Amino acid sequence: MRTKLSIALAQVAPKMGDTEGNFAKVLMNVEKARAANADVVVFPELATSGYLSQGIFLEMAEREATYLGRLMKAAKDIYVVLGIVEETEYGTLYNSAIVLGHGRVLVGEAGGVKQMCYRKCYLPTYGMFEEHRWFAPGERVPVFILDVPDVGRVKAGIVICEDFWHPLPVAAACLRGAQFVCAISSSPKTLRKPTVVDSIIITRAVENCSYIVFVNSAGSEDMVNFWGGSKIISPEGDVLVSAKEREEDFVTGDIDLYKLKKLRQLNPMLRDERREIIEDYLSAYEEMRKA
Amino acid sequence: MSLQLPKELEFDWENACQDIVNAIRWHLKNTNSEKGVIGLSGGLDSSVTAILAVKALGKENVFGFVLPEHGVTPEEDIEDALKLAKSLEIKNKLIEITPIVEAIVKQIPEVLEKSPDGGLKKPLAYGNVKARIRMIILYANANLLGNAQVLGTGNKSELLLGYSTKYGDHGVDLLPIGDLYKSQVRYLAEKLGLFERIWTKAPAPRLLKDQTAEGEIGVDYNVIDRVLYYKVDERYDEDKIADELHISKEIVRKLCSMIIQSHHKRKSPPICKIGSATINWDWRMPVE
Repeated sequence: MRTKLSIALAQVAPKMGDTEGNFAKVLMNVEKARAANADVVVFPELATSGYLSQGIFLEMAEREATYLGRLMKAAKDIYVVLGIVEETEYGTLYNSAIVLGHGRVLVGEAGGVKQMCYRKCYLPTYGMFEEHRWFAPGERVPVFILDVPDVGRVKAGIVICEDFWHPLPVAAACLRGAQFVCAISSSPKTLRKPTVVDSIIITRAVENCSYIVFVNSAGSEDMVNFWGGSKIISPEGDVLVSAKEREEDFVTGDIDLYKLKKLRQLNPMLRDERREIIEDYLSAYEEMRKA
Repeated sequence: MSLQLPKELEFDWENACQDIVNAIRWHLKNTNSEKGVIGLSGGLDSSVTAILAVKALGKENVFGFVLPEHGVTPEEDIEDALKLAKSLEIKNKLIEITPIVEAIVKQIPEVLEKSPDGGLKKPLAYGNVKARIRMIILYANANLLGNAQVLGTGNKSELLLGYSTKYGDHGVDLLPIGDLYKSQVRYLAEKLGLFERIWTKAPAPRLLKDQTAEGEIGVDYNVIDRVLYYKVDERYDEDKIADELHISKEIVRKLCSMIIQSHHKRKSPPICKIGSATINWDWRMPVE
């Protein structure tokens, strides 16, 4: 049995509206990841549609079904975490991440509630962002159980971009036992952004004693750049592997589950979480809402 | 001479250059274009845009057009524009706009009507004709080249103040340096090794003889840019900006009112809403 999990970071640059081309990139990266013997390959937020697709999200969601079928066949011996536009039977769109592989779509679980995809909980609608216009927010942070050959059951959490700017989603995933959290994003570049985001994901890793697999888009949409810089952060806050900035890239790195167990014994961040403070947080939140 | 930026406007210029180059490259790729057309005025903005375009697209894909007007465009501007094209090794063409201006003025003689003090009664009408002629020439050439887009040279200061001609120099496909203030563009020019004579020139639209931007606005860009920064990036109140920069409230008010009066230049023309899928309100689509 292995204790190390090999993770591939597929830092792609989706093209808005080009479902066919975007899925072709996904399939190509799945093949690369298989060739590299990765156990899991992680893609950015909205990797099949592009991030600034505005009014074409609906069509993009409708087009995805056929391609997901093809992806499922390609991912027969690897797990794929992929940012998609999810559409429900009621026509509601979510900015979601699907986990599939080894012949099935994984169902996430959050406190007894089953959920097919992870749905982004915090939808930025300020400045240049208008996600509430296009998507409904998710309401829970499920974890997904991967059955990895020679490794066994591994719990993965997922958060999407704005979700990790807030401390709670990563914390919730880790309290549910996530051993690594995929923090996928399509983060528009500003002069300050890469440094700030790097600090945030390192903080999330350390405060939860967890691996963070950060996968960001590259390229540019309507002259807005996505800065790439995908990386794996160790529970101690070290950058284990790092992809190029701005350009498409593909890198792999390992997550050591034995080391994680030891670190969680030595740095009991999750054990020391306190109900009183969580309840006080909730009460403070209610006060703010009433103000 | 080495330029210093005020603290508020300091930025990582190498990083910004890479961002612009990346954005130009991807935008053209995603819109199935290869070539960029730029009007070269011999001034700061168009020179910096041309340098960045060459970095993004390669010298064989950038086409410079020098479009002077006899008696208005100074000889040194023409020389500088041609010198830049030569140093960047880009294809270029000089097209004199004077006969076109004359042909239009012949049909609309009112644009040259004089006021009692001897100056033009409507200088804006006359000046804007020239900016729009240049736009027509650039687009005609972009169409002739095929797979080409017109790269605008507007910077953030001019875009915010409305210091540009709608469908003239503002009539372009993309604005690579549109998120950099004028003083940041000048700083970039120095760092990129642009000839000093270009970046030390007083900013001038050259639509009318002896016209300079700072002369028309009444304050220099070091002040203008800091006011714009506090108003737009920090959302300070006008009085607070005047206090912060130790300048008169009148200057701040003047600049802020220029921003408000030019909102229309930064938006698509408003459409009267009748149906349920009105363009730009309900129907919001990406460009690429």
